[in-house]
Amino acid sequence: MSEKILEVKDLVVQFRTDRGRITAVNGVSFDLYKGKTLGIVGESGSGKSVTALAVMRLIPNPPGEITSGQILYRGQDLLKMPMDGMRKIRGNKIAMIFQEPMTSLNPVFTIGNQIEEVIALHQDDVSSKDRRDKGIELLQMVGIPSPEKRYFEYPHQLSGGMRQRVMIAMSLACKPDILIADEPTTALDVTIQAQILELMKKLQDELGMAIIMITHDLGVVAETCDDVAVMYCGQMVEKSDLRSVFQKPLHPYTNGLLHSIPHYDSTRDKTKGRLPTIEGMVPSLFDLPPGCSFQDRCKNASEDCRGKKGNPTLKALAPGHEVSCFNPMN
Amino acid sequence: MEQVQTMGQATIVKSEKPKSKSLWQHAFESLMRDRYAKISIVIIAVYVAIALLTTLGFLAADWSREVGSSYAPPSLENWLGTDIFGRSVMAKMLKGTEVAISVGFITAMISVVIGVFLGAVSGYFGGKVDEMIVWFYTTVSSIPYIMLLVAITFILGKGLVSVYLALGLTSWVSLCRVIRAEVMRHKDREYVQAAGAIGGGDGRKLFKHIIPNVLHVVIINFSLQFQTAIKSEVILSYLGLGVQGRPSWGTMIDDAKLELARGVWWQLAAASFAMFLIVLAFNILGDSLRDALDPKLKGK
Repeated sequence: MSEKILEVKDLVVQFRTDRGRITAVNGVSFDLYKGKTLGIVGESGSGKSVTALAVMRLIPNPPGEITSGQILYRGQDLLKMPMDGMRKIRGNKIAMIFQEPMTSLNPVFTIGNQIEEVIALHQDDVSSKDRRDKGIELLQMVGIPSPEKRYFEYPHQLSGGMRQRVMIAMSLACKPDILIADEPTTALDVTIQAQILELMKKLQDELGMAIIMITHDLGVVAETCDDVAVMYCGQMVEKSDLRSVFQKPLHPYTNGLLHSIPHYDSTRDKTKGRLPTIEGMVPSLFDLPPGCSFQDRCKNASEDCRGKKGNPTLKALAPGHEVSCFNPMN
Repeated sequence: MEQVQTMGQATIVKSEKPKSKSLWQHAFESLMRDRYAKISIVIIAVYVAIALLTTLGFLAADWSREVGSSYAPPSLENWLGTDIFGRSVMAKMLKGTEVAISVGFITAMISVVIGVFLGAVSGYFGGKVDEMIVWFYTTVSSIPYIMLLVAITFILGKGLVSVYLALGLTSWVSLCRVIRAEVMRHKDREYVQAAGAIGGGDGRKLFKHIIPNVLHVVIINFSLQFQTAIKSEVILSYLGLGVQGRPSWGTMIDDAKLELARGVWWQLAAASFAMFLIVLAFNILGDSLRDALDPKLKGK
């Protein structure tokens, strides 16, 4: 196994609202290894993005707050680090790309200017001419045609895919150990999605960084990830390597997700009919039921799940395959 | 070697294609297409030039010299007539430009600096800081503005510096409000979050990333503040609280109180016209700047 670069332990993030505290991320733990990609999957509001922001300590406070847990980057707890040290890590050791390339770039500066800013922030010994050379080189690396020209353009002159490439170039400017990609392809159309994912894969191989891929698209996960963690209502319900999760999902939620993907090949899905869905709605974070938060939508739910046995926690049912369920799929 | 090549290519490509346009370049071009805006800019430039020339002593340096009899009406000799001491009204009007432009510029600067700083800090940090600043500017704006001006002028004594400060310290509230709202709107945008994600602190996020995005509001406000200040200086001088010992349009209009009964209209006319023209020019420019800089009005 390669080097463990990030270890998140029992992370809890809460938000204060007018209707009381809600726990957006509830006891999430995961490990990230050098050169590997971890996919965090879940639907809107399941806490994926909050987890990602928490790793960078970018949770807006107020109203948000990381109430407990540890985030160990190379053994060092980021949550105990002073803000100054944290700023030196952001963009330098841990970089992030956002969902909306349209709005993540500052509209009034040229893209070159914005790439140079990252370098200037973290490497103060680089001359301005070297910064420019490096910026153009980065644009070339992420596959932007005629980078010498594009370098002086403004974000509004680029297409969505190009802007996401620029965001990737910015995030890679300091050769980070970890890249957090928060739904990097959601705002892009499908052909561009494929290109961006391919690019990220290629750059990961070149630079050897670890990626946390946050997405709700299982197709993206299958394409890019080594390990998968499935989140539901702020908790990790299943965690394993890609193959096990896709071939033998243990949690009924994961199972439901995988079955609700339409299949186009006729051999696999002979029976015509309605696409299976997960019945019901995600419960409100304001009043989660006692026990498992998936109980109301679960076909396997029993009395155990409704609070009799307490809250389910992650347990390894197979080597490296953890699931938090009292009645897992078999 | 490779770097040199890239740079070489960069310059070649750049010279082939025109450099891409920023928001400001677009705004400038759209301003240049606007005929009234161009005329306004020319008028303002002429006023500024006159103000500079009088300050340096090239123009109207001898405004205090007697050039004719008392209250001589406009003639070929003295185009705008003379005042009670037989001084040229023309020269006084030109010399008055100096006061007007300096009051407009310095006052607008003071108000922009205070308004932008307080507005930005209050909008960005929110919470207690915001409450304090909002409390502060609500208090300032609840005091009748002429009363505050009179009070400040009495504390600091009469003179140009008091006029700058009195006007500057009372005119920042509206800009502060607008900037506060704009910064609030921008601070949760993703590009600000992204600036945090590359390791930028609060200061950098606020002043390097957000402020340039709301700068158009500042520029429009500056132009409108400028002319408000010119008008206010005239009012102050009219109330006898303005500049002393040198001509300003306000003191000229103040003099006209007594002159009009004797049928002497030219001093009033000269000062009013001079003020009218620049205030109008600034108003039109402010409007055109809004058209050019406000993205919502683009492409209409």
